[in-house]
Amino acid sequence: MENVIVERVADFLKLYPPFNELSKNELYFVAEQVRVHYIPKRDFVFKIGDSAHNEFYVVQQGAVGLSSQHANTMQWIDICDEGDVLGLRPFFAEQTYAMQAIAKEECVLYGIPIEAFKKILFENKAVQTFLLESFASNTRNPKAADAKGKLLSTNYASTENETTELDFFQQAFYTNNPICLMANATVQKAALLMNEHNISSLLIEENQLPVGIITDKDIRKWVATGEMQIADKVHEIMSQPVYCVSSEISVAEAQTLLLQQKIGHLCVTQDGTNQSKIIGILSEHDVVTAQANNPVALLKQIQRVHKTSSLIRIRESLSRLLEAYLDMALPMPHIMKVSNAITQNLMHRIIEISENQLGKSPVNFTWLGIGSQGRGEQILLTDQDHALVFEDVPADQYKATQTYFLQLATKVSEVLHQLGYVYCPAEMMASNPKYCLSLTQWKTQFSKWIDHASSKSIMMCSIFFDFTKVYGNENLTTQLRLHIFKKVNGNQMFFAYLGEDALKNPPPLGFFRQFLIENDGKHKDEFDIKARAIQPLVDAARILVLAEAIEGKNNTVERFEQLAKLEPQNKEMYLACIKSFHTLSKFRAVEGFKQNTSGRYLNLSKLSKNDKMKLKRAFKPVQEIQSLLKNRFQLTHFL
Amino acid sequence: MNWLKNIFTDTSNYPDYWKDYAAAFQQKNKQRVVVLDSETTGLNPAKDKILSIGAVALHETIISVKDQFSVLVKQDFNSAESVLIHGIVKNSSHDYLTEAEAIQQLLEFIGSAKIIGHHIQFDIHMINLVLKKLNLPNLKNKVEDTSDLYAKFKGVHHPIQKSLDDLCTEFNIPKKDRHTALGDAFLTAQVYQRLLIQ
Repeated sequence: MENVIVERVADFLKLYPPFNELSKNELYFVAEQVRVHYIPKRDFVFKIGDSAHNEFYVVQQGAVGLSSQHANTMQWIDICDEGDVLGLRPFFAEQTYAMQAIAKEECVLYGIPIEAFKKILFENKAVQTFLLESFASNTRNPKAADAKGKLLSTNYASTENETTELDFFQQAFYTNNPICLMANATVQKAALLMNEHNISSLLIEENQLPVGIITDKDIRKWVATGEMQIADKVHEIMSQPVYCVSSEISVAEAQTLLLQQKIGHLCVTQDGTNQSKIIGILSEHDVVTAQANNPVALLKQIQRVHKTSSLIRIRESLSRLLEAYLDMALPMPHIMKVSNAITQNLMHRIIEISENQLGKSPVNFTWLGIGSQGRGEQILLTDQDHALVFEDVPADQYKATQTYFLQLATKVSEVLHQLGYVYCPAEMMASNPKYCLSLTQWKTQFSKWIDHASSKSIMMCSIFFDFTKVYGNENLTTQLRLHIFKKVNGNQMFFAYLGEDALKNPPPLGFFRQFLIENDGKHKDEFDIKARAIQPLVDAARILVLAEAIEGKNNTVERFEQLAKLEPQNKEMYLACIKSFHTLSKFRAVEGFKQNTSGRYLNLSKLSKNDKMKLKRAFKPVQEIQSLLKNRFQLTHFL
Repeated sequence: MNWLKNIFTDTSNYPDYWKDYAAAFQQKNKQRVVVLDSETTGLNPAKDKILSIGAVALHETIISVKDQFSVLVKQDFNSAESVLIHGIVKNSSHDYLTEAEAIQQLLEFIGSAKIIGHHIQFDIHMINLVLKKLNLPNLKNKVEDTSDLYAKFKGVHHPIQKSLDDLCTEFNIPKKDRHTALGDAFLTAQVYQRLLIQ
């Protein structure tokens, strides 16, 4: 008679690595050895220092949290759920556990005897590699959890500090013992010193602490124009404060800071703050030399070019750069920041050129990026989504003013289209008279959307609420934002609608046999990662931030970060959401580059088991955040 | 009054396998319990027969997949109803044992372990009937019913009528292979595990 228990166990195991590598005989041999454990919620599977069990575990049901100790506090390393292996230490290392495993939910674990499994290990290279890699990743820092299942060789490298393509993450090199000057020295003295040493910047110090920085540009700007005299003191023209970093800063971090702050130099101090001794200076040039094909160079090119053809070339370079970054498995936050910085600058430049060609705008205006561009979350070329707001003008000038801006928008939109940002099919573009309005008109429009909540208006809200200034006058966006916050404040009806909208796409249940697959049309049998996984996170972050009236956070990750600060009790969940967001965005980006599409639809049958598991793990926080929304906005009666 | 009967029966005529089984009780292994389920032709002990027996052992609180037992029993008749439920059809390709062979192997497997099952008294009764046919005494093992354990778990002092299906649902145990003796034994073992640990 067939043995139903062994069969069941084998059926389960064969879905997951490394067991999917086994032959049928091997699989049944392993299944027969399994010991089924039941672990109630919050019980330990093992603790740090426990002597090694004679088996390792596969999670059959539930979730096990792994954590390790760092300076008296326990830190979560990973959550293992269905199909994950844990407790591999006895295979490889000394006979005690280096971390603890605790049931986060009630669990069924399959225990597999180490001795029995060793036989299979020795005969099966793939299994060996997988276990070794899982083991390595589990004992690494939390960032590695993302790469678990399918580890890149780079994960080893970074633990060993070996030189690999990840040179990028090596410590940035900087100039030691930089030339410094006291704040009360004259500008002339500064210029002489810079000439003498043939340098373009000087740190300004007081008691060996950095208080400012002076560069060629400052002297050009203030002295050469005659606004200041060479006898004036350096502290009058220096830039301050100086951004300080510690000597451990990586090239990537330095680059991100330089990009974000739009500065050229970082001061290296003993503890990384401006309250400690200066030890060096790190310039943009240092970063540029550290990395030849780099975003900083692209940014500079953007400022220099005039022709559409050059802009197209830069946009193509950006795609290549991002694709290479994804290949190198650089962290998603960095990739997204670089992508965002360059995209914004590119757009800015296009509008600038268009305005120059068309003639100066009659009044102040702001070009708004909306949707994913507004959130700074674009990696792939997507549809255009933008809007334009201009200063209020007397009624008799309204038509003429709007006409100018519509012309401008049409011009910009054409260039964007040539760059590969295709026209928005729904015409959510500044070239559409509906979305090219004066400030007052925009306020009225937003009021309408908020006051007359309907599913359509809520959709508009979710797109237009994520606006960011791409070009023009900051004041207009600030006023618009204040208006929105005032309108939505305490507006329960509105939040109920927005909440309902945020929940319209429940995430897949977490196990891939239950994946929601699009069951109609062109994308039959594919998984809509945007609508079903990314969008729910984006929507959740937006509504929570709006409800807390958090200003100036437009980006999903930044929103969750801010929420984590405000609600320590939910911190873990928000951080998990960030991680999921990055994982999912990465899936989308990789797919998009591979297929040359928007990356929105994943073909599940083409995903590796490991990828499926990784994906599945990313759904959990989506589920959690949705149930938080349900409670917080009391949406249950709505659904 | 089984114990009376046991005392006054001459044990020397028992077959070796029974003697071995009885001897196992000299040194009881309390770490091991056996979860058992049998499939029968019906629910009337007077006329119905055992069709199959499945059992799996727990060592302390852990179910050991390796330590399991499963037999199909050759019977002369099969009620149509039972075939519908269990899918066991006379003369299908599986290997069948006679009642005597099945019982012998079962005794070897369970040894002195405590026997657990859902509404286990019925299974025990059916087995004891076979033993009686073979002129052997009743099972000597301690017996515990998951149905009773469940009532205790719920803190009530009267029996709660819940099927194995109900319990699996309540404890979030995926129901697979219902109505094969071994499959049910495995499910019951998982229920028992939860009742034991929670």
